[in-house]
Amino acid sequence: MNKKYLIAYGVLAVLVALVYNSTRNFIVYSPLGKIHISNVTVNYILMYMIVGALSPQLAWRLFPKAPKWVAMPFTIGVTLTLLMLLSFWYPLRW
Amino acid sequence: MKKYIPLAVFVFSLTFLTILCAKEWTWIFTSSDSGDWLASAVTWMAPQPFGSPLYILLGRFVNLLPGNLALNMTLLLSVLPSAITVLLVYLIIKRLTDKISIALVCSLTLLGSAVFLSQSTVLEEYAITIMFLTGAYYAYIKNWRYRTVLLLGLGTAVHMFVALIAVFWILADRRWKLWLGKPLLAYIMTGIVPYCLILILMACDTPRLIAGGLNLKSIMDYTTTTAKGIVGNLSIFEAPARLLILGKLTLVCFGLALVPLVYYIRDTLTHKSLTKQTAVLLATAILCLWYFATNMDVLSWTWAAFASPSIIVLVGLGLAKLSRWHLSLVCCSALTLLAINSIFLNANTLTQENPKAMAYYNELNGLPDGTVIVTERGEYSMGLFYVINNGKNLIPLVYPYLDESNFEDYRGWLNEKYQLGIDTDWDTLTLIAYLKSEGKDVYYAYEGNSRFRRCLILEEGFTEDPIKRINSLSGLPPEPFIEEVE
Repeated sequence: MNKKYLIAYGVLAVLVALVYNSTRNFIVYSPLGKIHISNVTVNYILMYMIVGALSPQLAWRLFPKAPKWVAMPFTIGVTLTLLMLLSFWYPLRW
Repeated sequence: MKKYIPLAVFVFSLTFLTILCAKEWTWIFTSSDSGDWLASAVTWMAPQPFGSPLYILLGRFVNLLPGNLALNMTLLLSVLPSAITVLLVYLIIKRLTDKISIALVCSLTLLGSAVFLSQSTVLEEYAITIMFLTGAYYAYIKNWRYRTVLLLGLGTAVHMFVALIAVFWILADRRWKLWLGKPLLAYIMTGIVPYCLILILMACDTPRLIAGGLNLKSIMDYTTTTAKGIVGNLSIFEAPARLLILGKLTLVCFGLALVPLVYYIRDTLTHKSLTKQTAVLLATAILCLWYFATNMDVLSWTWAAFASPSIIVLVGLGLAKLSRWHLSLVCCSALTLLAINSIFLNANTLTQENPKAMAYYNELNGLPDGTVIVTERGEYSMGLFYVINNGKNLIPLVYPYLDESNFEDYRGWLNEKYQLGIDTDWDTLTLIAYLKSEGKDVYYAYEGNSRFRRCLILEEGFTEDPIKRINSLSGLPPEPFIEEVE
């Protein structure tokens, strides 16, 4: 077994230990019949992290010969489009 | 093959005993649907959409047996099917990898998986659906076409979600012609035709709670009420948090087994060696996880249980390509998770920590006969119907059925059954005021944060609780009503 796998197993073991209690509480006390609305600020940050991580990859696939700075307006465009679409699709929660 | 039978029996027995030891013999709201199934088992009535005809038929059969119904249903329709599922996973991995050690370790991993274990010990339809689904996959890899569609059909007759899984299986399999004709007919006969039972129940004189009488409007309302509001409707702002929960659930379920899983998927995609058998597993797992990731109802985490056997088989395929060190580490992880989850996530612990169902059951049974119970749709309303169907004389007012045009038949049924004399334009609040003026005891049974209470405060301007409250819900003292106004 090489070092890469040992690190992966180690990281997973630590993660399981870290999240076990909160996940168990989620399973036991998950709200019945209610919509779970979580922290909007955290969700904002996570959403922009996901969009920010995926958009440059998408931009590179769509425009392989474009310069790197194109990723920035592309990401902003994706975010704004998502916001516009979703505001029509489902009421934004804040 | 025969020499492996004792091992297979060992896997089955170990699983059965493990789940059996973890079971508190009562019904709990860890699954909010328990009330539906108990109510449908003791009286003919349409449960939550889409009806689960095979499950309620089995429930009614179990109701014929002596002993506690909740105990019998949990034992026969959750614990036993889960043990069979683990056995099937053992046989599948044994067949695909031809390695007993991997099959054993993977069976242990499934047994210790948090979501699977929790769904194996509650009164719920998932365990038996997963058993049929896993059985269908076993038949699929053995090229038993008719048995595959038969088992998929039986799974569909328990839970409609299997129909969607079946479609994805065929898409992943890509041999269209193989599944059309007689196999499709066999599937329709075993999976779709049983749903006629719900139409029959709508046509008969059954309680008009969730489903109305037999007409097109009632059928449309019944089939779309739940699904259209929650499926695929999660806001993007909620999605990252949901993905976080999904990640955490995956970690707690599979632990170190995620390494061979990721290795196998990556290896398969890199070398473009995706077989039909793997594609079917991936399609099942992705569909179930997508459902949870995009469903507005956070309780849909239980649906991740559908994905568990498929993921475990993929883990087994990954382990077959890795060295024995990996197997040893995954084995240690499986045993640890099994021990921890058996202690901290078993039904005894859950019932002690969250004793809603029994508290509710006991309080309802302690009320005087003829009491009016106001509750809301969902687990409390169906729990109430279970108590009523067991012989307790209570009048169920389920909010907001009287206030919505979709449920006209419920009003008629109440009038007919309890001789209440309700006018056609009365809403719930008017009816409560009328019943109180008639000298009836009216109790309110739901958790604090509810639509009905908000309606009382915001629309009707009540500043004090107009009706008595079932006190021991959640085992907590009742919240002062006035606090919600503030």
